[in-house]
Amino acid sequence: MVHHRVSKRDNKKEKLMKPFPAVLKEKKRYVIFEIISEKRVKEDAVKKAFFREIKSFIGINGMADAAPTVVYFDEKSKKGVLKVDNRALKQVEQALSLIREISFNKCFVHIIKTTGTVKKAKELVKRGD
Amino acid sequence: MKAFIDFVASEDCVSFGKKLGFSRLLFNELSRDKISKTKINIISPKSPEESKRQLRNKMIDIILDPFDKRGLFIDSAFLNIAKQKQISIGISFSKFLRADENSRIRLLHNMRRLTALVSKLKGDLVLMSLAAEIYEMRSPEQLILFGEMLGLSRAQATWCITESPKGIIRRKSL
Repeated sequence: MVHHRVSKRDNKKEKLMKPFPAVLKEKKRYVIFEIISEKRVKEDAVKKAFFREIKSFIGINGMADAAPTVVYFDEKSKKGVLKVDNRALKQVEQALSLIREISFNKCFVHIIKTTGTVKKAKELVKRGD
Repeated sequence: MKAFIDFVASEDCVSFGKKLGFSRLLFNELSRDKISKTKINIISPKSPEESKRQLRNKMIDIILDPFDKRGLFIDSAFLNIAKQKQISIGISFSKFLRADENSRIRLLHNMRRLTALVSKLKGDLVLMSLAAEIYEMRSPEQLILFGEMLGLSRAQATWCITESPKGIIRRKSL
């Protein structure tokens, strides 16, 4: 058996990683959305459709700034949370309103609310607001 | 609270729109031959000549999407007359939604030019979803975002889905 020796010094170094100063931190927003469709939609399909539409609307350059990620999606209630950069929030919301179908199911994305923390966003989705 | 008003092309959308946050939804088919005094008449011209001809008609309330691939059907003189005759210019979200990716570029360009022209000359602009089915409907907030996409400010876009349609309804005493 090979033992990887981690010196105390290395371990200490890892712990001492300095966090970014507040000015350089990413400012994120969490968009709570609901998919209104006849059939059930899967999380993967939602992610793909969002990615395709946002990319087609704001391009690769805009995508790099916005960095949209589906953080949470509940397939039962069809509600979820999308993480976006603060500066590109409006453009991403505009792109979401242009979605017409997800995996050949006619649907539309209804934006319920935008929050500043993922905790609050998840709470609102689970509570059903 | 603001009273958001939308125009739809199907009766099914009327009840659904209220869930989305609209206070009033008006069911309007595009009227080419069926023009009546009792309802709001929306005309979508196919050529510059037709749009000029429709301007002479006193019954018309909204001229919808006066442009095609080649460009706008209207100019500043047209808009000044429309303003005098209290005819509004309409932009429908469903037209943009139904278009494919490539034609959306041209469409967005024309819509932006039209919005800039109308707001410069202080004309009356109405934003509407004109949805034929519930999946083409959008919430008032999303219609405002569409207005912002066209170059309007948030206050202007809100005006286009609240006060502008309200003025038309008042004129028609509906």
